[in-house]
Amino acid sequence: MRMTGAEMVVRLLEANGATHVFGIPGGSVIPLYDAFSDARFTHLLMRHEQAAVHAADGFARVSGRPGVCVCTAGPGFTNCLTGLATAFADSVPLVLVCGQVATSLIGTDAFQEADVFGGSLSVVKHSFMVRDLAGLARTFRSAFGIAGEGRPGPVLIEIPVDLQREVGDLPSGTTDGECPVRVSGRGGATPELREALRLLDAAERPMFLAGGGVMISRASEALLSCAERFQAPVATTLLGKGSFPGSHPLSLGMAGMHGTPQANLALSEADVILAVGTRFSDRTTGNTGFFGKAAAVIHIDIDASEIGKVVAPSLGIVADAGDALRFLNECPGRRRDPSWVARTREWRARYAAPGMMQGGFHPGDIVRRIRNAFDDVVPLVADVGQNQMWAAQHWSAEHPGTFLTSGGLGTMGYALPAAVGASFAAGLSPVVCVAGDGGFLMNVQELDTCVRYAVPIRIFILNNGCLGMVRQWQELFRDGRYSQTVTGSPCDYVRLAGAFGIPGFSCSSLEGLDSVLSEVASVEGPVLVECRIAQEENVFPMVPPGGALGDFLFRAGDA
Amino acid sequence: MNVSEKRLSVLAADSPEAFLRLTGVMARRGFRLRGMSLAKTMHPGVVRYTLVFPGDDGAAERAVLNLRKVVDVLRVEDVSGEAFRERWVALIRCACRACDVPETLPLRVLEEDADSVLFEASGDRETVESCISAMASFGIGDVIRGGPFVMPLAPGTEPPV
Ligand SMILES: Cc1ncc(C[n+]2csc(CCOP(=O)(O)OP(=O)(O)O)c2C)c(N)n1
Ligand SMILES: [Mg+2]
Repeated sequence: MRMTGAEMVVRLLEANGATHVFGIPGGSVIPLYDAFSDARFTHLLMRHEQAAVHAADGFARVSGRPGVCVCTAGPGFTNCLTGLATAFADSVPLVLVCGQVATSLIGTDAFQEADVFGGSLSVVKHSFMVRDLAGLARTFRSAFGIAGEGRPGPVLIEIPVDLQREVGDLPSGTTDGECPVRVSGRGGATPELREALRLLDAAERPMFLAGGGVMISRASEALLSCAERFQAPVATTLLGKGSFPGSHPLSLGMAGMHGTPQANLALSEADVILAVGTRFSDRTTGNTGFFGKAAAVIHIDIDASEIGKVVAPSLGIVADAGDALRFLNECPGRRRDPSWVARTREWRARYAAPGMMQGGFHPGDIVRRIRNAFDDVVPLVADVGQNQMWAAQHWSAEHPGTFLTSGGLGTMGYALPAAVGASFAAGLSPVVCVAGDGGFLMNVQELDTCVRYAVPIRIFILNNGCLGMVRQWQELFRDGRYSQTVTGSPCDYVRLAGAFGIPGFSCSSLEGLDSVLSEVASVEGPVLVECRIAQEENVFPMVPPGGALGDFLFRAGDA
Repeated sequence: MNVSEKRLSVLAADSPEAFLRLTGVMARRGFRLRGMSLAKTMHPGVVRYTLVFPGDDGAAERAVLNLRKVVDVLRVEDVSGEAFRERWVALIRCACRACDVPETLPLRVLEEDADSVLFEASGDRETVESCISAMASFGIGDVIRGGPFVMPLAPGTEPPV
């Protein structure tokens, strides 16, 4: 069929399953935006390209399908870099279609020319420079394939504006044909998996550490039955939250720097740790010299280069998480002594009281109240900093894809736009966004997007008047010299919300929060709630940097 | 051969982007390239990179696994060690006469003019390096080294594309 390059892009996005496209137009994508007018997908206009990429990222994390975003050349592209790096760090599948100056101008420092390919190199899984229309269908098919396959990641397609105008032929049957994607990992009964089974069967104190890979591979059910079968308690990483129901008796909660005592103690005492779909972030392992020292560590990951990168496992298995867990599940096993699980439950009981300051408006209580005000399928998107850790500690995620945050890169400003994408992924359904005062202001312009599309987002700002997580480190490790962290900004968040046309509330007590929550329930579109919390509140438990997981500070003054 | 140095043979798509991705991955993962060659193969559209970098078996393994993730990379092989034959080349310009240089040195004269000679040395690395040091006394004007070029000793073990 004869059509312009721009029309081809639209048809190819449709053919590859795009339903929502997040972006901002500009000079080098005007033909493309023109063609959007009769697209079968919905284009959502964001207010910053970084936000467009985060929205596509939130969309992908909830839907499990590649998110799609569009930007213009030059500054449009450079604004995307943080979003791409965020998605890359957390293995999120997305496709960014990026405009470029006309082919004849490339290399001349033309207006808004930036080295898109070079600039993206270290923050994408792959990128394509389109230089003619002939291979366009193949390029899009490959891009979507690469984004979602194996260990997912962001893929960029750069298209000069003249090619968007050029007329050519789009071959019929654009979705079939070969895609040059290699399948890594293998399922079935490999010798390594048999060995894993043997180790687990022989274990006295087995446990699982579940990372984001479990959700990527949709292996949560397999994980659940595996855990029950081996009577193995399950700790998750930050990105693994939601892969195992937080309220399950075998759930230990999150492990790591701000993980639960029971998760960190279990990791220190287990004799077999089966880590699946995790890259052993330093935030998860603490000092690797002590990590899993009492255990045989079995590491299952689809990315062979992750095995042995940080932790040298007793057994490394390159496999899809779901394939591996299903295999382990199907084999008969022995009955196990319940004392190990009982021991982890004792830890949980012993450290039940949250390690926070006495009296006042505790962030942990706030997060739990918010959690109880919503159905457990409503996703939470947490920003970065103390608020993120309080959310991770106190929001019990029951289902995959209901806890979203920027883990690997720790990108402040992620939550608000990602929540927009998360809401669209579930048919514009309610979504909770928790952010700090600092991170919220980093993408505050997206309030406008929330209003224009009536996104049912419930924004909770944990306002401590400071860049809290940095302030905490300064308090603990810099003798309380608060260099550039305590802002005490007089920002009136209720009026700020009002200026965008959003109902806003402010509260400074649990009673106040309760009554706000009952009002929030009846708001249809976006709503913003400021929770004024104490500046001095710190996140505990905490494993000090460089410490072993078992050596956590449980509450202020433990140091 | 220096055991703390590794050689990888990488078959990749013949494109400037592939080159950037490949070297980018090596740089980002902290490998310092000490030598590199890039050459056509018998297969159109496929080139071979030979990379040399300091590191042990673990480092080579990490480099292999990371390079395999590059979409343009078709095949990566560790070609360090006994099962492979490698050659290096050096071009050495000296301020001397060709007849001044002992014939026992495995050098080829490429060019000679009134006040300098351009020699070629080739062989395993020790041979090439010992030529270069032997020539030092004749006053080296310039030297350029290249390589390694690596082939498996046993025929047929050359990786297919
Ligand atoms: C884009 C970006 N810039 C800087 C940082 C470093 N950083 C990490 S947490 C933090 C403080 C966050 O403050 P706020 O958003 O108010 O959250 P709080 O910790 O107070 O809950 C900073 C500056 C970051 N993670 N991301
Ligand atoms: Mg703050």
